[in-house]
Amino acid sequence: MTAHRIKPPPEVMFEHELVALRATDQGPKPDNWLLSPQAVRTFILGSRKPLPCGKDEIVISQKFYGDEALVERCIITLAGSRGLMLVGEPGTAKTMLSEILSAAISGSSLNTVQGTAGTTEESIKYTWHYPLLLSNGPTEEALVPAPVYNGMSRGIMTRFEEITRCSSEVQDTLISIMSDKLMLIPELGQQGVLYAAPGFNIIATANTRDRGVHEMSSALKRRFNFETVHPIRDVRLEAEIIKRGAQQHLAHLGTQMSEDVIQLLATIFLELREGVTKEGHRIDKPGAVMSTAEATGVYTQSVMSAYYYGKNRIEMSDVVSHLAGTIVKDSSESLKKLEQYFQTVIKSRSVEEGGLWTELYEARSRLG
Amino acid sequence: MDGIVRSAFQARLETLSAVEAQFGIRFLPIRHHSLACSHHLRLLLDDYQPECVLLEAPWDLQHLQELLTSGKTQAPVSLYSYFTDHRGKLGSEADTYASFYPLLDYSPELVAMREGKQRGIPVHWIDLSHPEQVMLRSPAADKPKNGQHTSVYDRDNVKDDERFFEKVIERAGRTSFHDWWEHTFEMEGMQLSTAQFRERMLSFCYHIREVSGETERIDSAREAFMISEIRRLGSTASRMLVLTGGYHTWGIVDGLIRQEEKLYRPEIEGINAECYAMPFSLEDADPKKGYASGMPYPAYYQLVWDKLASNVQQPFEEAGIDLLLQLAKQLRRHDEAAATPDVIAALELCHGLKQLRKKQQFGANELQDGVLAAFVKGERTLSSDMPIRVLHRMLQGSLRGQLDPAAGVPPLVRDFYEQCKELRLKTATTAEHQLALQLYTKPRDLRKSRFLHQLSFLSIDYGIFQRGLDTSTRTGLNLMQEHWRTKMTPSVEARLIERASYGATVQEAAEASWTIRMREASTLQDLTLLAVDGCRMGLEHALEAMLPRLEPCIRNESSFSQISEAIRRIGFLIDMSDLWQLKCKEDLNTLYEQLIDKGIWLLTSVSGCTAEEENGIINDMKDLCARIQECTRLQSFLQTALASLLGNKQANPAIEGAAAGLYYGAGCLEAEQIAMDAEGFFYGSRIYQAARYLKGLFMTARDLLLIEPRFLTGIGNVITNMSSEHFHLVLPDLKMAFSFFTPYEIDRIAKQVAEEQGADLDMLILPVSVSDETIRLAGRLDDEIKRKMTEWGLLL
Repeated sequence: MTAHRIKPPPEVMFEHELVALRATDQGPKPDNWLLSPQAVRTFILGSRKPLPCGKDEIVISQKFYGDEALVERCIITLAGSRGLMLVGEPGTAKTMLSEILSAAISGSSLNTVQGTAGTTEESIKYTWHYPLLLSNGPTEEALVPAPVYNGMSRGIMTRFEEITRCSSEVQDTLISIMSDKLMLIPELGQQGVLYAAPGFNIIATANTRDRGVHEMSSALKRRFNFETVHPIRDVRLEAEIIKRGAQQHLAHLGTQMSEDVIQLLATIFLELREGVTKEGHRIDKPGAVMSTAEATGVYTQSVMSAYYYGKNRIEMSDVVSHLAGTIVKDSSESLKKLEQYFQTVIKSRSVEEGGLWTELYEARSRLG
Repeated sequence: MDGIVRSAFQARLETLSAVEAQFGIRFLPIRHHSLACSHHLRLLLDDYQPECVLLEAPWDLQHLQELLTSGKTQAPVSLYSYFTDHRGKLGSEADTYASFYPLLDYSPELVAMREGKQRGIPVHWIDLSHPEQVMLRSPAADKPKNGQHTSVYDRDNVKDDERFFEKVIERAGRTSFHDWWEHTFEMEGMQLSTAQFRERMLSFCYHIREVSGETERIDSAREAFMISEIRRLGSTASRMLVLTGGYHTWGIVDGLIRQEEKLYRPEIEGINAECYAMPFSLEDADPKKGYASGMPYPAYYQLVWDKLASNVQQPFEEAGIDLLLQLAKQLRRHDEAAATPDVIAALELCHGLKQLRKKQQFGANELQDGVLAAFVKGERTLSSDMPIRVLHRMLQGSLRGQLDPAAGVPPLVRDFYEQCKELRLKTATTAEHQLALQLYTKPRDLRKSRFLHQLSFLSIDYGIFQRGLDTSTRTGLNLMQEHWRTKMTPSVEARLIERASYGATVQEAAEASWTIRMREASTLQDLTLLAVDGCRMGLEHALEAMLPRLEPCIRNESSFSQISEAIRRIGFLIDMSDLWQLKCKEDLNTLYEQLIDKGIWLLTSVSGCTAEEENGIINDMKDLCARIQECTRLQSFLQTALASLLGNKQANPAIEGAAAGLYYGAGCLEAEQIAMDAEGFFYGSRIYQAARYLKGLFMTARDLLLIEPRFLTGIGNVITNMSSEHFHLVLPDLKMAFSFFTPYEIDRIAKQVAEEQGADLDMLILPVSVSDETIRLAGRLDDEIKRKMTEWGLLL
């Protein structure tokens, strides 16, 4: 089933793990949660001991790398009365965290509002099946539920991606829903009240680069607990995440992971993101997003170039091309900074360390 | 493996039981500032009913026990011991070694003393004295660091082996050592029976002893002394309770098994330690403030201890709730959004995390997590995380303890508090206060200033001078106010105790210290500096006694720089004489005139100064000329000196330039004439000294460059005809020569240069590109310099 999807949702991808956890979970569960908070934590942070799964045993893989206390706070927040707001730089795994939280708690990560400038109140709460509305008037049958309606009626998590990209009026729709845990549907008259079933909550994400586009009102902020997800600051960990991400994307190709290329990309992305080299020298940070997700993208694309063009190994010219493509988004300034990085840091390493660094430096003409 | 370790520990427990039975003792290993240890200590006293308690505390401080347990003494308090190594036993200098021994309400040591007093059980202090301990370890460890005192117990053996604890913490699923300790010992431990708690502590101490490797010399000596004390006291009592730091318990047990213990006590003859009790603060008891042996968050645990005393069922949680409510109040005072729903949300989170982390109560970690999630709105940044910062301050606390007023504190300490009270200077908490003193309009502020200067002179760091008139740095000369930052720390009282021998009041001590230094001072520089310090401190009569000593110093002084500095200081005293109501103003004026005469007289001597001295001397020359502008006699005298300086063709080029500029400023020289002299540098054999000449000239008369075009032409010639190597040598002086111009003047000069060179002005302001090689070279050079500086101890 998963083979037919580019990216299956976590509840499908980690179905066996969820089944094993549900079967062994002894902890108390909040109403309508499929797992106890302890088991949700294990699902996200992994376990060393294997769990029985039918006749087999299954090890719960680690899915989120970083601050474990943050994960614990997120879980407990969702069991309480406030929503969870994940903020941070793009590419820090906010969305992934919200998906796996939803998958573990409610068994589905698909009840999602994607926030855009065009998101309307209808796409959050509900809309109407217009032929039915015209023929029968406003009835429950004619009502088409949107994700928040769904979440409230079924008692499941509702994910709200990029909430600050929506206009303030649309964001404020959530205030009364989150305070009173009910949604008024005036078209249905006295029957038009939807009470949230236990288990309902909202996990919203907002990236800090969009700050100020549509700043959240204080009233809405008070309905959320905020968690700031920081980028990874450890090369070894970053390399591990790139490797795991690439394994998922490239499983169908059956290629071997190239550890040294992954290590090289992890180093480059961490240095450009932090603005400091591993030797401690300051460098200019490009304006583009330099997240681990982007690094995984560069690696995946480089592997695919090698695979489809019949090359035996990943070529540094492909790595440089994809790196440039990732960095040059909306300004040529970032490319200049990348060129400077090549001319100073990578050139120096090509002399001192050789190997892939030399190959990378020699492929600099592909920067554009 | 675990099984082997467990059985080894069981065997050790059996040994312990045998030793306890043989010697009639009961051990209770403790950790400084552990509530659970204090709690079980009380229970053990009820259960075991010892005849006496033996405490790991310096034997020579035992006489302070009565004061510490007085009903009028309020913790936090500290024992304080210091001594000066006059005989140089520990090093070549007569260094002072000092140490604190902080005690909080919930410190097992203080609880033992208080309970002992209440129950009529004698408490004996059985550890080596502070000087003995200093002799046994590296003396450097006890020297004050950055003016701060250390503690002899400023080391936490229980946390020494990091790798061991990393494993323990990981296996227990905790985030830090303290999180693990709080849960395992403070929370769970409180629910255990005393026997179970004691076994848990003994097990913990057994493991740290096992992993910490060879016992250090100081630990062996301390244990040997404690063993000898246990044996000695054991001859008169059959039931003794022995309270020692966890690390030492097993060492003592082993020592008691051995029949003969080699006692080693260092020779401390001639060292007389002064010992006092003094108020301490919660803030300074926090490990983040340097007291490594303590537990963090002392104010929080004080609250928990108070709740325990009220028989509250969940003391950690109740204390947490109190803190959350206080936090919301404090944040509202800071105009931060903090409503009751935030408190409820934080509390919800604390309870949820407690269950998730399998704790019986939520503790300091959960409290911080709850506040972070519920109070911090938006991305966590410096501007948004005030709730966390305020919470940390609250967990730490700022409360200071109090000693029984009947305590025999030195009069100097008493006077300090009385003066602070009278001048309304805050000492009740460790909070920092800013003061802006209006010296000219408020008499009380002038008194405060004098008091704070007196303390500074005595190196008592209660007040830190921030801004105001300061002749030593030549800053703030235009300021009418003095800005100070005051903060009460334990080292303030420690220093007061150390200075107690100088006098009974702060003023007396400052004057005595000032007089000693004045007697020792022999140079004009030292004496004038002391004169300024004396006036700032309001010691005018002492100043009057000093003035006669200045005259011979002026006569004997042959350095122009020293005379210039003295002119500035005495000039400053004259300027301030009205404010400070100095009666010796006339004497000062006489001295000032003598100094000016001497300065002019010495002016001709500066012609041979070195390149390193020249910048300072030129500034002194400018200062001297400015001071005598209104006196015709002195002006004529000065002009003669300048002319003599200019006549010396072997003079330092920068001084020659400066003299020319000053002579031009006095109207004795035309610009054209100076340009002709300068051309001697631009076109002649002294071309390499042109930059220094220009520097001196522009420091005193920079307008010459703007009115006389021959200078630019000449500078152009210097630059054109100089080799690249020489150009790099003179570049710093050339750059400095042009640093005296305003941006507008620089712009004007640039235009002139562009016109003269036929260049496009825009080309001159283009950014300079630097090659990759240069950048890499600079990077490597930086690294090499850092490496060398670290090697030489210049960088930490």
